[in-house]
Amino acid sequence: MIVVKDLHKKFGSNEVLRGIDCEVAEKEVVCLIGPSGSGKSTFLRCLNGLETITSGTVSVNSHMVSDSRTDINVVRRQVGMVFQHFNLFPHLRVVDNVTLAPTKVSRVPREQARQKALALLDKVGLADKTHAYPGSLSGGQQQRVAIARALAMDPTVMLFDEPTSALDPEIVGEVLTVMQTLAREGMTMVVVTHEMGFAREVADRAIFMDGGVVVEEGPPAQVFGAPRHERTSNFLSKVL
Amino acid sequence: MTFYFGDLLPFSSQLAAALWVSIYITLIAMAVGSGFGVLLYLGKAGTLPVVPQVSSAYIEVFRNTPLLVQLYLIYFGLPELGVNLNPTWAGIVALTLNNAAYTAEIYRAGFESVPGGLVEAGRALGMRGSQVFRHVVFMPATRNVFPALTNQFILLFLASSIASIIGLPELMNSILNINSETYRTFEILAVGGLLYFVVSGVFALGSKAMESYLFRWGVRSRA
Amino acid sequence: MLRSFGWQDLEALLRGALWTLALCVTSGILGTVLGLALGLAATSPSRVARWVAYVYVYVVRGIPLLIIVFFAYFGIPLVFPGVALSAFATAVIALTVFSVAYMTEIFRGSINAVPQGQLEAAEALGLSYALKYRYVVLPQAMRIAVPPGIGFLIALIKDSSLVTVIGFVELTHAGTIVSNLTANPILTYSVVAAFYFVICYAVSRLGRWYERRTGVRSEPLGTDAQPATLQLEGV
Repeated sequence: MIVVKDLHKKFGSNEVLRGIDCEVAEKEVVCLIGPSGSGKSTFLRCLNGLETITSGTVSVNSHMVSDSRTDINVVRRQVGMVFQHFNLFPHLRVVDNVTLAPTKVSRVPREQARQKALALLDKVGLADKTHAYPGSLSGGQQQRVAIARALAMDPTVMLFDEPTSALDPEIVGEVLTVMQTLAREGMTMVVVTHEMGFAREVADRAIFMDGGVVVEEGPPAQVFGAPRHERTSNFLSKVL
Repeated sequence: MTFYFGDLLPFSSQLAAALWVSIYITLIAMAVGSGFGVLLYLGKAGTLPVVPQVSSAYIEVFRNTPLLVQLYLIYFGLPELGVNLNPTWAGIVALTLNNAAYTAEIYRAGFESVPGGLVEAGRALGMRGSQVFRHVVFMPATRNVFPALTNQFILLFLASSIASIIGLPELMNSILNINSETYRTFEILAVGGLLYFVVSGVFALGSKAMESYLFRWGVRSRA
Repeated sequence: MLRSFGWQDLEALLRGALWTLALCVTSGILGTVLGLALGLAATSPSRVARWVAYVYVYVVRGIPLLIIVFFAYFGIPLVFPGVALSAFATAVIALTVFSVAYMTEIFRGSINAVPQGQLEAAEALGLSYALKYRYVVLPQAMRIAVPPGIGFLIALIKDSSLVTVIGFVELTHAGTIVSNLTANPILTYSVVAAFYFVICYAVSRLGRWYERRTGVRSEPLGTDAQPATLQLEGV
């Protein structure tokens, strides 16, 4: 479903990704872990073309993201993204945040989009907040709206870029629960996270990145329980 | 020294008419000037050859020289080139050109302060650039510039008094005429100052009301 | 007798530019000192002091500078019949009255921008009100006040052109005289504008240098460098 080959990304002379190879299968949940500055977020952002790719190939649903002739917006409609800082549109009510892309990008009729938005908001537990403005919501609520907004496009893949890092510890759980439900329903997910508990329980595979390369990957039980690389065990000993 | 405002009563309709002139030249200069200001901002921020340099030069020159000198160049200078403007038109043109330079900078600050994350969120949902601008960036940017724009409107209203110096028959000009007819200097300056003060206060209150209506969505977006 | 624009005219304009500078430096200094006093009043615990500062600021900022200039020009001789003020002194008074209002707002904003924690830390150390302001609040507020202060100085330089109406021969008035003598308004006023531009641009570069060096930034500003958020908030 996602195939990445020898991906390099440079910011000026600073090489952030130094040759990443990676595949994500349908319905697979992959967690990317690693120290900050390891390139996890940049890698994720290359998957939907928010970062331009320096060299290598990225394909999503057989669309070549790395090919400049590809209409990137076609890919993005199939790939949902959730950001660390939510990035809800502050001038739109919750329900309008969710319906904006379906109505404007996919030309779904308004009423149909609205019904779907209400269902999604109910799913993330915010049926009572549909007419609130984002500014009046807590961080956890905003992030759940952001998940509903991404789901409204019926994506086949969801990308999560540190979705709980900006949240207070006591409300991290409400967002993780929603993500766990999604995973159980068979959504393909790539999650950059510092929540090791979530990675261990929910992921099918954990990928440990450091210095722009994949150091180690495998089933969470193995990566967390018996890391094969010293860098992995060093990192885990600091965060666990 | 005694104050007597009675002598001014016969001039009240003249003052009202002059006040209206002040307001409408401000409205014209604001409407046309801020439109021109958007173009200047887009020109400066754009990637066309030469246009960014020309836009920047225009903005810097108009912001770093007095409105009065700009007015003199238009009113006294243009006739040398065969363009004769009456005081009203010279005043409107000067205020408009001056206002454009300031609004261009206001727009720049407003658009630059829209968090990059919003643009990314729009792009990640598959929106085209124009859709991101229309549906995602435009309202937060407008909210960001709105207080500065209405403030600029009030400042422009006060600055329009400068056009009295070339004889544009607006409020300040009328105040000076009434002074030379009545010699009630203190009284007419006080009344005139009060008129400017009250009208600019009404504008300020009006803009606050408009702001809270237009931007009910409240708190500024987070980073 | 008309003559063409020559060196003597350039010299006259240069002299006018120096008077403009003298005018702005004098009223700028007076405005800063008095504005600091009124700024302290505006942030003081005394309700009366705050009220006085607010009324002054909002009245002066709500009326055109020309009204103030004419008030000084016509009013002072009426109130003090014996006093013969020079045009320079009258201009300085008008521009000072104007500057104080803006500098008060700048100082009020800067003092309020000092983090609350700083005040609490000073109070927790047992510093008196005077000591707290002297050693903790004002040193930080002064740094914050520099960028908007420089912005206002630029505005003042441009606005000082308005004292031409009372006949003081500053740069703009010198321009009018030269323009009448040479019948060459485009050239004359272009030179006048160039003088203003050089002065203002130099001052604004100074401001940007300060911002770069200290990392203190000013708010985006509207016409004549008046902090947009400070205009006419509820008294």
